[in-house]
Amino acid sequence: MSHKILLWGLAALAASGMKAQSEFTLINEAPANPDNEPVAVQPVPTERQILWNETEFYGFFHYGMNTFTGQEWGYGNEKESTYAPTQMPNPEQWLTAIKAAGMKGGIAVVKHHDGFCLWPTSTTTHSIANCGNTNGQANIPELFGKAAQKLGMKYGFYISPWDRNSGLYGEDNYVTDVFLKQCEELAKYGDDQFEMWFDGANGGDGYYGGKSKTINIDASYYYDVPNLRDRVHRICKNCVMWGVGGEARWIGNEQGYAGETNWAMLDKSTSSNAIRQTGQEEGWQWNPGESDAKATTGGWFWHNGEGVLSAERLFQMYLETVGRNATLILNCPPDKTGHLPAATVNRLAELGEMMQTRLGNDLAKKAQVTVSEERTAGGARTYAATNLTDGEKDTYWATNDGTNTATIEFTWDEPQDIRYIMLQEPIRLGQRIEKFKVEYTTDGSSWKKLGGAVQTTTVGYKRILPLNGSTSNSYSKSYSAKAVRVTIESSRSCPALHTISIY
Amino acid sequence: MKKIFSIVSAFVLFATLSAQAQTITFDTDDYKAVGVYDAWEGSPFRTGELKGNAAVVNNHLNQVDEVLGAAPDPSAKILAVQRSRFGGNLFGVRIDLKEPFRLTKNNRYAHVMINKPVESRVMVIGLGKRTEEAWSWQDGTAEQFWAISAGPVAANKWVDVVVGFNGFSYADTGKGGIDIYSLVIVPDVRSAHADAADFACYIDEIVIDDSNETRFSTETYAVSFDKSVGNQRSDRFMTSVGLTGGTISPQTKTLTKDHHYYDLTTTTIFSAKPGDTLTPTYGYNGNWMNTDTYIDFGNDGKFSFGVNADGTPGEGSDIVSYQYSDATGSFRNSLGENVSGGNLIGSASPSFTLPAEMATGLYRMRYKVDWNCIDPAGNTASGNEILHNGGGIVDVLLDIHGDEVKVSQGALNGEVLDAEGNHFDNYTTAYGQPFTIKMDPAPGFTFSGVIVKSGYNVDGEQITGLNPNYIINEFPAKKFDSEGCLTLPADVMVGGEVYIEGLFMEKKDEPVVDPTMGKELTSLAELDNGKVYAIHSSNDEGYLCYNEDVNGSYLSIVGVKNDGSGAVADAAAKEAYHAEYEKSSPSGQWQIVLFEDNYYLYNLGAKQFVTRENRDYLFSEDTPALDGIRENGDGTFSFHAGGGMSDNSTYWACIVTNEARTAVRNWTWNDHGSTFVINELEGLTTYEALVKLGGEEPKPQYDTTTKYFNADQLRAEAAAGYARIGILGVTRTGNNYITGATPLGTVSEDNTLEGARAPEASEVLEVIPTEGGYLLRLESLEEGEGYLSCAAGGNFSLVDAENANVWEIAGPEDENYGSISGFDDLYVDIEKEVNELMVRFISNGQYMNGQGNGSIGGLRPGTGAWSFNYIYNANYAGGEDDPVGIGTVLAPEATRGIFSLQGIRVPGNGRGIRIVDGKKVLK
Repeated sequence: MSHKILLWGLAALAASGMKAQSEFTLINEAPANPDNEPVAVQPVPTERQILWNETEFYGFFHYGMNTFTGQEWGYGNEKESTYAPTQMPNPEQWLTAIKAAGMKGGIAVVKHHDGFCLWPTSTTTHSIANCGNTNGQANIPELFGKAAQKLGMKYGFYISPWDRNSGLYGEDNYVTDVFLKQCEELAKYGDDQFEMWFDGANGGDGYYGGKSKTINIDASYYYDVPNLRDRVHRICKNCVMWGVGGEARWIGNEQGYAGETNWAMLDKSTSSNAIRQTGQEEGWQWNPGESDAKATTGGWFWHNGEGVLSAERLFQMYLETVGRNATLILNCPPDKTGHLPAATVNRLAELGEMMQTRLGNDLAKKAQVTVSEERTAGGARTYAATNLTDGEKDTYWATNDGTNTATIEFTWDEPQDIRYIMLQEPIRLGQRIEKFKVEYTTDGSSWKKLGGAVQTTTVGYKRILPLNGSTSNSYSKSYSAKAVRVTIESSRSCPALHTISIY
Repeated sequence: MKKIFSIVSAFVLFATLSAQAQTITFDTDDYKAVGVYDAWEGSPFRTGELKGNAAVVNNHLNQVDEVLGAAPDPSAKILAVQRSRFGGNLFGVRIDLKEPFRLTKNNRYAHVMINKPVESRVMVIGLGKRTEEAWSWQDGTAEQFWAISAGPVAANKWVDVVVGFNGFSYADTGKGGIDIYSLVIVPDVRSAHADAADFACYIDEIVIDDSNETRFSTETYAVSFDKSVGNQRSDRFMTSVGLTGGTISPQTKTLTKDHHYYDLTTTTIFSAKPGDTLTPTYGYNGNWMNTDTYIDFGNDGKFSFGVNADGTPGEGSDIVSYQYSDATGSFRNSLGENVSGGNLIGSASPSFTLPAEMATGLYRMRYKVDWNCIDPAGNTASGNEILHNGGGIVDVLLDIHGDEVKVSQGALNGEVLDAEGNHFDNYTTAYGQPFTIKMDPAPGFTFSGVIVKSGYNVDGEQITGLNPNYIINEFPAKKFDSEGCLTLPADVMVGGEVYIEGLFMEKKDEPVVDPTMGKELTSLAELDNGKVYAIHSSNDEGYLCYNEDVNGSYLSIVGVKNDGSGAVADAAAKEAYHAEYEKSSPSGQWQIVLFEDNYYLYNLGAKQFVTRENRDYLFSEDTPALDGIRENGDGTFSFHAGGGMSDNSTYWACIVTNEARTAVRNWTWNDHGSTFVINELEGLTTYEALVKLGGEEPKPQYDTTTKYFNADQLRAEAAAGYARIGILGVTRTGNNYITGATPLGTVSEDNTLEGARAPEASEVLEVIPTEGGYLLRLESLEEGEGYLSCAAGGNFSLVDAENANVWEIAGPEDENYGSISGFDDLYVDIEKEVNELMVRFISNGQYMNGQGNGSIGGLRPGTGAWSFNYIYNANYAGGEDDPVGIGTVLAPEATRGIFSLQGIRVPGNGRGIRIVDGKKVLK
């Protein structure tokens, strides 16, 4: 701020002295709260963000022109006929495989930076409509959406804002005449899409309709995201616009981890990857993190000879993302046949078995649960400890206003071998818990801390704590527990949890 | 009382409002409607359950501001809104515009005057729609931009908030675009869930234009962002500021690199004299930035920055040096030179000359790194804000001074003197020169350090006006030498007066260490300059000792069981001679030092060396050597002092119990020397005698037994209170390195390190990429090597040479990701916690995390809280109860320590987070 005063003409100095009273009178109004619900700590997610968060773990399918050129970023001058699947692509096979891994949805890449569209778009000739082979003309978003609906899975599409093929890229009317129209066309493949993925890569060199030059744009305004979002929401009301779209953030790395402290809030303008990994407790926008990671050892697209990461490694990613208040979109690239390779399918099945073995038997449901305080019930809602284990996400336990710490104890008649604990906040009330700890006792009287050196700070939508403190080898050690105690040590307001599970 | 601002013009010939400005005053019919707004979709104000409260009212906040000297808002009407605690964090007042304005790609600014009782951020939201026919379904309420204030806006006064915004739109008219129909002013960006009541906020004089300048400010030495905000850029930040050409040249102050604003005015004074030509110096990590330097010559709380048409500082301007600005319409520097390019941060800043008649005293001096902006508050242009561009601001004090500085002191239970022992009575010394002080505690007292105040009015409050009156520096006792002397650095001997407060405290008894009577020496080769010994007659004639009560000058004896041929003549001496020997008493503890081919005998109680005078063995204030020590071949030794050694010599040490008060002498001319047994006193180590002789305390030998990472060894180390990992053989291979490369040292035959030292910033730890992660290689002295393996996700393992995982170390909490280069002084700190051992890597005063990002993983600043939990390798498993190896390592009371890479225990250094008494503190 510069130190100068703007004189408004010959404005005279007002008389100094005591301030006059304002004629503005405050009115006394408050919303009804018959259920005695806690006041939400702002910001809070929208309904579509809550539904998106509940998807938790979903697949990513990088498939397209690059599958056949071996590129990760195509230049945009590839011949349409290069896209030539050797079999009819089968998105149902993709989704079936990831469903076996426990994933609840998938995002299909339908236009990458090379600009080749995997559906017969009206906006460009650079699409499957002109590939000249039967298999290639499979309408991927259409097949993908239908398969997802059939399998009861969520779905969405990745469409690259950056288009290295389009001669209009960089011009004012690229967005209105090409990009927005493409988004609208994709929105028609199902109004129940849960996410539209907008890659942050923007600008650079490319074919650009023959110009073969470098075009840079200012992503802060070029794609007119506010109105794009308005338009897409009009058609797909629950479609979260990821990344550039502003409703969910990139977690800041592609290695499959989030910060152990991870707030769903963020100041919109931050560009720091470190802050993306942890969020900001005082961030003004609800902007939860999604972690994009590769299940294979090659690139995002399929490459000959690539391997698949071990199930243990994938499970580690799950713990470090979904288990840390982020979602995980795990990339499984189809090959030239338009199918997921057998090795990938097998690994996904293995992961699914691992998930079921490790996180399939909730011991908390067999425990007696006691808490240090229960919030006074309202008309149609109670906040009893039993809400933590009733399997209902809409019921929750909470303390009274003014009580920002609490303990929750699970006790069994016989000691249980435990390895993980999972906590979930009802995030429509905002993200509240700042710090907690987990302890266990074998003899009922001496308590020992669990979790190793893991920072047990935030919870959010979901927090999974490997009790041995290791995510890379979380299953190796169990603890024989007669009781488990969760202590909420600090919270922004009265804490609330809708579920605690112990595995 | 703050000084009242005067009008200062920043630039020459600049208009303040663009022709396209849109203004809403609320005094006239210049708006369409007002009402409340909440961005929260579930808000009761959206459902209609609550109606909200906003209205245009008479302006009751039109008083004169005493700092400004004018009323910030003398207008007739203002907009009031009731900030409801039931609204979201983006609850505010919506103002429907009379005429919409077009959003453009170019930055525009909203100026809003606001007065509210809560300090918090303010936001302006634009509501609008696209104008094309295809978008006619929009109703004009889509949120188009969110422009938030840089930091909290002060409460209970009018503040002129300026926020920038832009948006997609066609550049040419007629093609359509985005029109803004309403503005939402969010006066309190904050969750109000804990508020007990609503409050009123007042808004006025909204202007939309192309200028990012505020209309007024009452904040002294203001900056354009939240001063407390942490470093927003891990790749671009200020590292130091300094001054050359001044009294103490160069002067440099290193920054902690964790903020954008540093107020160092309470700790840092740069010095100069009137007429000096000075050059500000800057350290910066990054490029494409410029420097701007200011001095508040008028001490009026602000830095004016007017420049002449040729770019030189204007009359009365406080800007003294800048590298690059187009304030004059073309790019120039403060010397009036034309400059181009702008990437000048690596070049010298222009020099400047202080006025010859500049008054003595302290002035605030501001250093700023920014891009093409001479505003001392920092760039606010949208997209190039100083926080975003990686700039920073540092305020220090500049002392314009005379030739000498007065020195005074004050203390209880002691006095601070100069090096010669003189009192500080009407004392002056040369300004800006190192100055030695000496502590003189009163009897029964010692000292913990000094607090030094340097500046003016040092006996009053530090801050009574705009700037501190003096700086304060503390020097703890450990900085003093053994004589109680300390040389204060030159940059503390500044200002008009230096006041030294001595911190004296009651001396407490040193804890008594009770050593164990250890092995008997069998040869002189077993002697060790660091060990402590008990020396006793082989004939039970007593232990050699120092006894001040019997005779402080001569050697005495104690613990006599055999009086020899006669009774002790002196009754007092007899009693002392027959007292029990106490091995814990320094009086009975000896050092036998071999130094420069001579043996020396030293008593820790007397703190003196033994010699012979006439016939008596006595203590000396000098450092006399023995003639020698003779190995008698039967496990006993004899001592010889003075006159040369020979079998027929007359000077062998003899215990003579029948002598009064001179227990050790030469009795006859013949060899009647006593034979002595030398026992090691275990548990005591000191190099006191060696140091007094002028020797150097040797570095500890490298303990190779800790090189193997296996459970048994670490269990043993854990039981001892700490464990350590030494890192040797730092090398560089290919591109897989952190920085530089020089071996840290080599191990010599006697297991000491040659050339051993702590690593420099240029040292390297080899980083070897492996599938899914990286190896940080720790070389071992012996066969087999230890590796620290980092998985891509950041979890480390310690593996042995066979690459069998030994431990899994869990990754710590994510912290700010820092640059992987520039590590120096990398320490490994292993602490014990219940059930686990904590391994931390410390560099440059910061704990390092191991989660990588991008192409090179490795270490980065963080909490450094690693722990290892278990062992993969079945070879190290401990049986059925301990199937994974280390399992739960229960340890006694933690003895924490930080070890250098040579295994030397060192104190924590520098800045950052460290553990003090088991708690993490930020320093």
